[in-house]
Amino acid sequence: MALNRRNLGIGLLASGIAGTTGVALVGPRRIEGLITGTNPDQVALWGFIGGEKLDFVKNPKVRDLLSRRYGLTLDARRAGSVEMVSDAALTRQGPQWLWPASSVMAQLARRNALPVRRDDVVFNSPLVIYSWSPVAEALENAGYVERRENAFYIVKMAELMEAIVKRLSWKDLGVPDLYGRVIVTTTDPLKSNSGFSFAALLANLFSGDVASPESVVRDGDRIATIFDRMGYKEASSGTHWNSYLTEGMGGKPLIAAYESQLVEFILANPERWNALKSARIRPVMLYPAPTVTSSHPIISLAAAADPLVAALTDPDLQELAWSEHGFRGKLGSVGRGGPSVEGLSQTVSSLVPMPDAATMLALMQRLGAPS
Amino acid sequence: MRRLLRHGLAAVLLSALGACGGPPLDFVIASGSENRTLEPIVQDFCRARRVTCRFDYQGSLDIGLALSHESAAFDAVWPANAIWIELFDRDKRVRDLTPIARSPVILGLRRSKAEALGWIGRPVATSDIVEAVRDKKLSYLASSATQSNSGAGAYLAMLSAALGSPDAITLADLKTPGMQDTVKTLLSGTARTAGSSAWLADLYLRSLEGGTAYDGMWNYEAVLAETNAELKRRGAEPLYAIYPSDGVAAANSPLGFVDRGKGVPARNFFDALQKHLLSAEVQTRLVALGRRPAVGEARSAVPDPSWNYDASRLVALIRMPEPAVVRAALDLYQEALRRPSLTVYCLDFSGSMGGPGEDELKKAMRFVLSHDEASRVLVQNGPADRIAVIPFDSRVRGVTRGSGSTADAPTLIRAVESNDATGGTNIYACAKAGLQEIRDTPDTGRYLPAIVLMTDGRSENYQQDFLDAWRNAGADIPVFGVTFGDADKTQLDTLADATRARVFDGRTSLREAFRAVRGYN
Repeated sequence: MALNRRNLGIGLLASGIAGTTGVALVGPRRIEGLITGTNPDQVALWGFIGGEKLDFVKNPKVRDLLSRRYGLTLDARRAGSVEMVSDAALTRQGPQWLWPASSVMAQLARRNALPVRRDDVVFNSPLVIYSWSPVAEALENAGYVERRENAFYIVKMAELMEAIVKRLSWKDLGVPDLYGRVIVTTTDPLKSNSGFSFAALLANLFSGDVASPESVVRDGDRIATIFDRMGYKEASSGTHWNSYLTEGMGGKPLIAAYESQLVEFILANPERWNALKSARIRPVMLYPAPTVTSSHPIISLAAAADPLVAALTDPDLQELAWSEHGFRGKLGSVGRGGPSVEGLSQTVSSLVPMPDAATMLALMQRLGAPS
Repeated sequence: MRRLLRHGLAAVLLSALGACGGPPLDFVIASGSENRTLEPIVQDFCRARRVTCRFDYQGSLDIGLALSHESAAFDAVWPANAIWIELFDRDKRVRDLTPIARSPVILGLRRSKAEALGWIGRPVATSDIVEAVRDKKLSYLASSATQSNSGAGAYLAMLSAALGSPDAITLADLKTPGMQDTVKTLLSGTARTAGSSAWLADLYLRSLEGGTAYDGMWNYEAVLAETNAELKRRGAEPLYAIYPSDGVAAANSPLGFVDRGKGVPARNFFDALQKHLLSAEVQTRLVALGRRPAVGEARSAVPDPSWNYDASRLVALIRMPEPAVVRAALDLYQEALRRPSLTVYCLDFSGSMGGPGEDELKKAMRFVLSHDEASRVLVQNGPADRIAVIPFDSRVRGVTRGSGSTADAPTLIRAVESNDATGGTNIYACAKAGLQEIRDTPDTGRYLPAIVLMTDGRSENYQQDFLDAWRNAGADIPVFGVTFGDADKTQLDTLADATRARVFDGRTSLREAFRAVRGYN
């Protein structure tokens, strides 16, 4: 009891000293902040975030850094990238910021007359293809996959898509253990950004260049047929990734997803990853050539949220994003720390820009139409 | 001052204790019956955390349907497949649905049967199974596709194989005439059906006791593993695993959280439970129980060649169709493709049913006989089904027959509604009349027969009389019981046991009991 009182006294003394020296300069609230170690002008901002970044903003190190250095606290509510910029039920709630998984969404937000003040890409993660070692080997033997710099694999997308359009079977490609025809599965392109990005990649491939509204009119049927043939498409990238791991080679031989998903899985589940990578059938990451990248723009819709753009590009936050969550920085480069993931490419080449918002809208309309 | 401090300290101590223990947490998990074997693992974890856990076993479809109600009475769901949540959870109440373990739906055949068919040690395609059924060399137990996930999985794989198309099934595919014939043939091999995979396995074991074993059953690899352990214990021949080479469906048993306002402790407990079940230690135990792990290969499972079991073998999966296609495929099963049912409803209109009981019975029968109401929960009749309604008291009041078509429904409903509750109770007289009705039905072998016997009282005892007649009939005709009011359950239990059926509790809801029993024929 006595000890407690003494401690209390020291505390009072300390604040007394601070009070006499600092009060005139920074005001009493700032002093309280200096003593308790928190930034005085804490601003809580709420907005919608793509589910793939939820773990990042929940990370205590991230929260702490944002709060100490920038006085910002994020109240992040999960929403699909497409719906957060276009579903009135969400936009009329008045979010202060949006953090979707594609820069096309910033354009869509403007088209939908949202009060966009600033938008800036914060993270990047390329769209990749995940497969399993026996499938990757067969694809390599058949000439669809090549090893680069003895470090990572690329998959030639034009050739692979041709095989899919021709309805080649797994046996044709030298995978006797799998029944049925070759297909890449992904998420629902009308709800989730990885499916949306894959649709963009197909539109680019079929057009031979960056897709346009005209090329989408021409190639729409072919793209829609591929999505139809996938069957059930999950609504979120996270669920789809779980299915890939769970169903394994027998159910999900090839999926399109983000590079960050494997990296984040390895970081969060070292034990399970060790078991997986030493198995007879191992996950393999293939970089599509060409590919598109998912660039995550922070969109400020209120003056209070403007500082977020600078805060999220803080070098320390960018390093955390890579080393703990597998997101590449705003320029697409990997960080210094982080996991040693076999098959990771330091740089992502053969990037093709995403088509513009008008093209993506036309494509989504085509994919949403009943076939 | 000192006293004040002491009180303050006591308050701090108390609140610290409170934060540690918290108010006792009750946690209800709505789970598929195939998880019964895993409950002890969960209960151990609950005990360690001082949480009271309760398993509420339901079919995967029921779990989905319960989510569309206002007040789901559970904190977590653990169905066999996420598709059931996807089909019915329109308000997205389930969060963080994550697979815990896998198990493919395969065909287990008595080893001697598999040998006779020449299926030991070679790949078997669905076309081989079609041929064996067509030649009357093979029949099997299979769960209802509309009431049980294992039944749905087996059925969707049949559809996929019959289409010869490995791409996902589309709405247009469902109209392919050749496909319908093939799947009808496959389903005509159904000797008995059930609303639950666990009950189906029990049925197989019970058939051994009667000396007439079925040829085999469609079920989860995990349930076959459990059944084979029991068969080995009894010194009986195992069920040999057939993995159709053109693809199978699989359970992935996802565990998901349902927020019903219990706050942070419930959420934290769920997160910890999910993490625990996915830990290396528990995953190894799941593999020892015949499951495949949530992620990766089942490397620690010991292969057992005696029943063709090797969990590290790659199983080709069919591609799951879009939810709208699944729904349409299930309607097609229920209304056209399954082996048609021949159902006799014995309905108790004795005096004690007067008042609310009579009303509830009439309502329940209106539900089960009207296409629109029944189809909402996928138990509608199809035009090929045959139905007989027999109201009874101490005697049989009359028999009204009809098909399952919508045109016949009004006549059958009238045959129920025209009754008033009066007189004594003799369930055996009605059951015997039902038996006769089934035997007299032309081409009776086409149908899956059943007698559904609903009563609220204690019957005059003519049990032996009925059981003699049942044995003489020499057919596999289950007598399902539905209890109401203060029914004497022992009488219904005896009939159900003797005829390899089960008794459903209609005391809380007759409608629910009648719905459940539809999954069994």
